[in-house]
Amino acid sequence: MQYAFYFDPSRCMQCFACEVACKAEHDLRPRVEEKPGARGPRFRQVTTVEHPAASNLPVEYVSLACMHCGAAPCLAACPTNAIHRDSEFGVVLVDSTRCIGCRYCSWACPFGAPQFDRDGLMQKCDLCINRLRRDELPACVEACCGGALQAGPVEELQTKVRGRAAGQIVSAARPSLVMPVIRRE
Amino acid sequence: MEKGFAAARQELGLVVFTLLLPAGVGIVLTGALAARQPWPPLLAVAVSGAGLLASLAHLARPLRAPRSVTNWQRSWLSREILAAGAFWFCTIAWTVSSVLTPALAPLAATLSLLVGAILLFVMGRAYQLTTRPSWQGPEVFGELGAVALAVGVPAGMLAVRSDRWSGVAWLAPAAVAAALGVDWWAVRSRRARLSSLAADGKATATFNQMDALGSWTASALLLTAAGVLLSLAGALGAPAQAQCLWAGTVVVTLPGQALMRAIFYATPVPQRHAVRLRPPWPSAAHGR
Repeated sequence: MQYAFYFDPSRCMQCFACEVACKAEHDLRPRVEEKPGARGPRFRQVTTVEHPAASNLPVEYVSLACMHCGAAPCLAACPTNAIHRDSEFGVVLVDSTRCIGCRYCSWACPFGAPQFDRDGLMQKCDLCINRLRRDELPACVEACCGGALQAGPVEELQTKVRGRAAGQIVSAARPSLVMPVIRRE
Repeated sequence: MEKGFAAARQELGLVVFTLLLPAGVGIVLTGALAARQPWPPLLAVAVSGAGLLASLAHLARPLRAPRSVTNWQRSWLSREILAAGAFWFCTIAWTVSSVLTPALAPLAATLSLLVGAILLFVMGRAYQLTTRPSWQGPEVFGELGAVALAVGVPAGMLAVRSDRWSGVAWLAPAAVAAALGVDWWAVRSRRARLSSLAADGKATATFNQMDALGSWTASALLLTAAGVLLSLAGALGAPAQAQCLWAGTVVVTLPGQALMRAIFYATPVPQRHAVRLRPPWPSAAHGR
């Protein structure tokens, strides 16, 4: 079974609760303990995407972590086979005893998921696999107060998203959205 | 070095690696054309060995480096390390055969040259990453070849005995001139390719970085151009002067190409950061 995150940017209010919960769950240092210029590892990062051209919504907040991609580029790039996929939940994991710290995975990953601590070895989001094994939600999902973050089997998430999209279309009831469909029928 | 080189400073080991390994291939090319001499392959062994050692410097766990070939079925980085190791062993085999079994030396030279060409391809292929638009193009292959021609060939000439120069004396100026042409093409081609991608703003941050390092790019090209003049004088001069002029060529082309490698690692802005810096102005204005 393939587990994944689902993120709805329209519900994110940039409260950073997910990022804090992730740091607490994985025992990661807060940024204030880092040297000037260093960030420290952040498995989940809340970032701001700017859309200067958009008049009504100039910024969007995005909470980004490892997407545990189906065809993970980091998994194919890793020269030592340190990155592998868990068979139970389909989570992309890293074996730090095999990592050589070449950082090639960080070049290959489009989401900036691989993080490097002071030891120079790669670490990243493991979708809180220990919590999943205890039938609990990942820490970030549990902490998200706006309901922007969800996690679960991909099929289940897809059904949820489809349902939500259909609901939005029906509730909007805008002729410009519905009319073309009626005309085709 | 200025602030723009911060990313390249992190990858200093890779700058040296991608400078010395292609230089080793250039030395092998010169040596193969003036065969049956042990000095060019010995120089190639030393230069590419130093490059391999430098590649360990950017690893967090250098002692685990032998594991880096285990994912050769999928990872181009694994294949790069395999090809670099194979090239180094080929040059060692060539050196040994030049001394012990000279009849086998041409075969070993041809094999080293073939593996060297494969190494340049695999090295370039390792940088074909969709997440780094400025690397994902044919320019990388050209730039690595330019290092081989601009640094390796004049360095190889230094190791060839002067009585063997008759056939290869013009190789050095021709190679350095070709390298200058390739570098010039790579700079222009990368810019043109990125400007075609810039419609969605993704390459704009990379353009800003390119502009910030523009004077360094010009300096690198000027150093290589100086190498063309020096190697030309070397080809025209007497053997005693030629040795000095070819040494001078290496002295100017080595920092020139090192600068090109440093700019290569300093330029790309990861796509996810570039998207965040999407500009309010039309991106086409940057496509010069």
